Amino acid sequence: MEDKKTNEATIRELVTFKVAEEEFAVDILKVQEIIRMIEITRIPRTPEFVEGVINLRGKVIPVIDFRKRFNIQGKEEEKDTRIIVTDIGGKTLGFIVDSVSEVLRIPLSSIEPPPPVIAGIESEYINGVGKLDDRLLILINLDKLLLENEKMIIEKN
Amino acid sequence: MREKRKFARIDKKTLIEFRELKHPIEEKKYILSNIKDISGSGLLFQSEKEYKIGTFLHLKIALTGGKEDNPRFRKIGEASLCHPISIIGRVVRIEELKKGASYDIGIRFVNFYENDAAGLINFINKNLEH
Repeated sequence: MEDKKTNEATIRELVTFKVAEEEFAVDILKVQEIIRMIEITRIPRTPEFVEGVINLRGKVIPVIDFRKRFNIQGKEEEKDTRIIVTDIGGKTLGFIVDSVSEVLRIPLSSIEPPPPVIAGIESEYINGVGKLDDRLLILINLDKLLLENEKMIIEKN
Repeated sequence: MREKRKFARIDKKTLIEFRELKHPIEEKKYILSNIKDISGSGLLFQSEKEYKIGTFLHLKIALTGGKEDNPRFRKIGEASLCHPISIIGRVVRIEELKKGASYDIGIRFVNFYENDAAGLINFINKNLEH
């Protein structure tokens, strides 16, 4: 039991995903579900990175394009495109990524504070950088992303 | 065009809840109204507020009233007041009934949740039969 407690405090469980050549991760507890692309309805006069809204089992959820939001260049593979639906404090937001890779358990000791800018993304949107063998995981600060989109269409649970 | 012919229009007083989808959107309550008629591709309802053509609305439609409606035994694809059908629709027609007070709003459906589409078709078929 004690071992488990120690583990929970020192291990973080993440969902990892790819956009262009970069590998990103978000806290699994904030991921509600991962879905394949479904029809997105574009709402007029929204910022370019807001793709629109989806109608997921009766809930209207705003969806942003991760690639456009952070101006990430590079080849886009469409066949593995997914929408990661996140839920933070009852507020739901989906974001489109190139592909979802895996669920990963990573020791806190291998997460370092973010550099000022990484992969063109400002540090305020990054919780840290996970170093795993030859991989580099950029841990995205979902709260910050959601906060920024507060004024978008947010459907409460 | 084929869709249109497939589902005949019906007149039925059915409750609808709706809200406008626009950016930026503050949390707004849904407005309650009655549907005047509905088909598989769109509906007509009465509104106190005027909506411009092209406006997107989230619509929740409470489809009940069929003889076989029983909340305890509901098949997938059927809906009730507790589980309204959810549709994103676009305003395609507006008619002023009473200046500044009452409008007929014509909606074309643009984004269905798959099971809800089945529920709507069931509802329309059932109500055509009776």
